[in-house]
Amino acid sequence: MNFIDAMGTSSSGMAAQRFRMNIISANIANAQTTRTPEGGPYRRRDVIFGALPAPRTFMEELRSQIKEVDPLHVKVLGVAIDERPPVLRYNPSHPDANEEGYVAMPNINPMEEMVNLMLASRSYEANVAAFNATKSMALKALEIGKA
Amino acid sequence: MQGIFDRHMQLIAKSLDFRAKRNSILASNVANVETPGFKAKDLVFERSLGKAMKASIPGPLNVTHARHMDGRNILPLHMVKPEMIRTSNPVGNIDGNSVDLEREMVKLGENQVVYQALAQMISHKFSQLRTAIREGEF
Repeated sequence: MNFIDAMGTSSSGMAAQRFRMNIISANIANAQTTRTPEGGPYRRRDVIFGALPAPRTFMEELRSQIKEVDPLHVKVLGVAIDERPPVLRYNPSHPDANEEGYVAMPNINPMEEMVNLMLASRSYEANVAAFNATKSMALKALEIGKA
Repeated sequence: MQGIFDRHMQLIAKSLDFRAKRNSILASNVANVETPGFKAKDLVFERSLGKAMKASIPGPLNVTHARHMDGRNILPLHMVKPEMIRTSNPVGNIDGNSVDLEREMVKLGENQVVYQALAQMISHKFSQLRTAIREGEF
């Protein structure tokens, strides 16, 4: 089913962008977090996207001899931790301050996060538009043969 | 005319099929707009379709059997397949992604409009047939 496949592709794009938005929200929310389970300040996270063929069952894989046109889905391959060093800020009254009075704060630039958030939301919208195009085509196809 | 479903109808059906396939390729381009290294793809069809439309014109060699070659190497209409091409993008992204979102959205819209036009054409064909079957009565 061609239209269902296309809808699946668009929805994989939407899901990936929504996941990315979650990660960006976590980055923004933790911009001041100095304690984490793994120790030290919060580290910025990034999503890795990959293009993969649509998931298929074993039988489908067997039946498809021709690899002609396979639209690729988006998949979140993982979440990478940003290796930028934490920012040292002078704040001797902070409980996590070191002997010299500096606190290691997460290296998060709100501007950067907002730009990424905008990108994610625009990409999401583009996927919605593509989905709507597919839907209207499918509906038009249903009208064929109606008097 | 060969039967009541003529070549024109077959052509529209083939084009509808192609437009549906192209839609799924374009949707995958849009979905992968931020996947590093992804190359935008597209389907082309018109050239081979145009060639196939000329398949009924006799070729330079005489044929007396269905499996004879006429020397032109033209696929008949029902065997035409769309070709997958890579969309070129001169201002590619630094991460190797070659999707141009604006262009993909325009293609999606164009593809959708043509699909709807084709669907309308085939509906019209059916209603013409229906009129003929009812001897012009409604």
